[in-house]
Amino acid sequence: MKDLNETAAAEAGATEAYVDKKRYFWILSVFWPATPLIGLYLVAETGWSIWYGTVLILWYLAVPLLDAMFGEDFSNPPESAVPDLEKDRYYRVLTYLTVPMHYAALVGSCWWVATQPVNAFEFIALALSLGIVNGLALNTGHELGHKKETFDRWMAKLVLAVVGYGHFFIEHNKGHHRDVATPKDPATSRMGENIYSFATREIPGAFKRAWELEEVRLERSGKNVWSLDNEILQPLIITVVLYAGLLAFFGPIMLVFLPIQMAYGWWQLTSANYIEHYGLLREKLPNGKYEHQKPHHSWNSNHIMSNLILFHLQRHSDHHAHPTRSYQSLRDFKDLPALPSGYPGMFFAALVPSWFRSIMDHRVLDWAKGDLNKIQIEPGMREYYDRKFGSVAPAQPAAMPAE
Amino acid sequence: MAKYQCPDCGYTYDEIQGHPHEGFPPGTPWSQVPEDFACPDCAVRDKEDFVLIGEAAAPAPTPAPAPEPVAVAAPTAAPQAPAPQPTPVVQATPAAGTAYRKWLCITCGHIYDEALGDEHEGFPPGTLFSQIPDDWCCPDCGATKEDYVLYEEK
Repeated sequence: MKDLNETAAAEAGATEAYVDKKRYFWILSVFWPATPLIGLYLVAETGWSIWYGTVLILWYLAVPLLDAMFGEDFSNPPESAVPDLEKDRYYRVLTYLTVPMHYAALVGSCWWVATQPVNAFEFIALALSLGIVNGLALNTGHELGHKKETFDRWMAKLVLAVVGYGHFFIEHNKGHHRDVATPKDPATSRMGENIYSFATREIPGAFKRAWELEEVRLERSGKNVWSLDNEILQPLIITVVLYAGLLAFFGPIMLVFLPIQMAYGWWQLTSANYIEHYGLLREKLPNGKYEHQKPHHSWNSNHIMSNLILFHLQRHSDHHAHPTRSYQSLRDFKDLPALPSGYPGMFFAALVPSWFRSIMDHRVLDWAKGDLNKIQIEPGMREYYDRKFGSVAPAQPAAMPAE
Repeated sequence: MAKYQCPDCGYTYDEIQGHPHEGFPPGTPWSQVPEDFACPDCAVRDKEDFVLIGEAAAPAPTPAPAPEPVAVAAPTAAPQAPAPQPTPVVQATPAAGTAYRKWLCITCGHIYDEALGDEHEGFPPGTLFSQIPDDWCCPDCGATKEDYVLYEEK
C-alpha cells in the first residue's frame, strides 16, 4: 500500500502536497463559544446595552450576510490526503479546546447577571445569546461523540452537560443515524410540519429513544438501567452538580437564567434537526426495511462562513454516509440537496413557518421529481399539497392512495 | 472464532473479544448477536450488512504471488494508468481464485462487478476496477472511487 502511494505520489508530483486552506480558520469554531463574553467586555468598555445581543446579531444577521458574501466552498480534500488529515491531532485538539470555552461562557455569563445591574431586556438578550452558544455545545458534543475513543466520548458527555442534553450522543449516534429520513425518526421533520409542532415531537421522542436504547444495552449486560453505567445518567449528574453549584454561588437569579439559556440551547438542536432532513424520505423496500441511507437523504450547505463556526456540520450528507469521519475531511458530492443559506440563516427562517415553507417546499418537490408519494408529509397536509403541487405531480398510472 | 466488519466505518466485531460495553461478553458468537444489531460506531449498517473478514481456524491465506488479478489485465493494461489503487482495502484475506472481483460502494451498497463491467458507464465487461478513472463516481450515489472496497460474497 505504502509503495503504491509513493509511486503515485512520485508520478503525481506536486498534487501530493495538499494544503488545507481552512486549517487555521477552524479556530473560529473554538472561539465562537466565547462571543457572549466578548459582548460583555464590550458592554463594560462602552456601556452600550446593544452589546448584550452580540451573539444574536452575529448569528442571525452577520453570519447569514457573510454566507451570502463569501458564498460556497466546494473544495474537497483529495482522498489520498484523508488518512493524514484524520491522523493530524491538531484538528482533534481544537475540538477539545472548545469544551472549556463552553464552560467559561456559561460561568462568565452567570457571574455577570448575578453581580452586574441588568434590566429585563439585557437579561433576556444575554440568556438567549448564551443559549445559542450553548446550543453549539451540542455541535461540539456531536463531533466528539461520534469518535471511537473513550476519551473523546467523555469530552462529549462533559460538553453536552453544559446544556443539559447528555442523552444526545446516544440518541443521535444509535437512533437518529439508524432511522434518519424515515417516519420512525422523531428527529426528521416532515414537509408542512412547522418547527413548533416538530419540537413537541422531537424533544420527548429523542429522550424516549435514547432511554430505550440505553435500557436494551444495559439489560444485555445484566445491569440495572438505574446504575452509574447508564450513559444518560452520567452527563445528567454532571449537569445537576454544575447547575446546583451555579445556584449556590450566584443565587436565586439562576433559577430564571439557567432554564432560559438551556431551553434556547435545546432550541438550536431542534432547529438543526428540523432543517437537516426536512421532508426527505427513504424508500421502503419489499422486505419491509428502508433502503440504505444515501447522500441525497440530507440537506447540505457549503457556505463557508457558517461551516467554519460549525465544524463542517453542514456537509451533512457525507457525515451521514460516514458518521465517524472527522470534520476536516468531510466532502461535498455533486448534485446534493442544497439549502440556499447556511444553518444560521435557515434557523432564522424556520421561526416563521410560512416563510420557511416558501423557501423549502418547492425544493423538496424538485428533490422528489414532483412525486408527492416520495416525500414525508405532515399528516393532514397531504390534501393541501395535492392542491398546491398536484399539477406538477406526474400522472401516476396507479391510483393515488387517499390519505 | 471469526471477525465481522462494518462495511461503512470499519468497526470490527471480534467473537473472541465480544463487545462488553454493548452487553456481549467475550466469546459471544456472531449468531447470538440480535438481528436488529446496528453498528455501534456508525449505526449506518446493521448486522446483515457486516462482512466476514477472518476465520481464525484455517490459515488459508497463502499469499498468492502477485500475478493473479493481472492475468486479465496485463495484455490490456493501458500504458499510462499503472493501477494506483489507493483504496482502503479492508480485507485481510486475498480473494484469490477468480481473476474478476467485485467492489462495493460503502456509501450506498452499489456493486461494481468487473466481470460484467458497466455498459451504461462505458466500461465493457472485463474492465478491472483499477482501470476505471480515478475521478469516476458511484453511479447511484455520487461517492468517489475511493469509497469502494473489495467485496466478498458470504
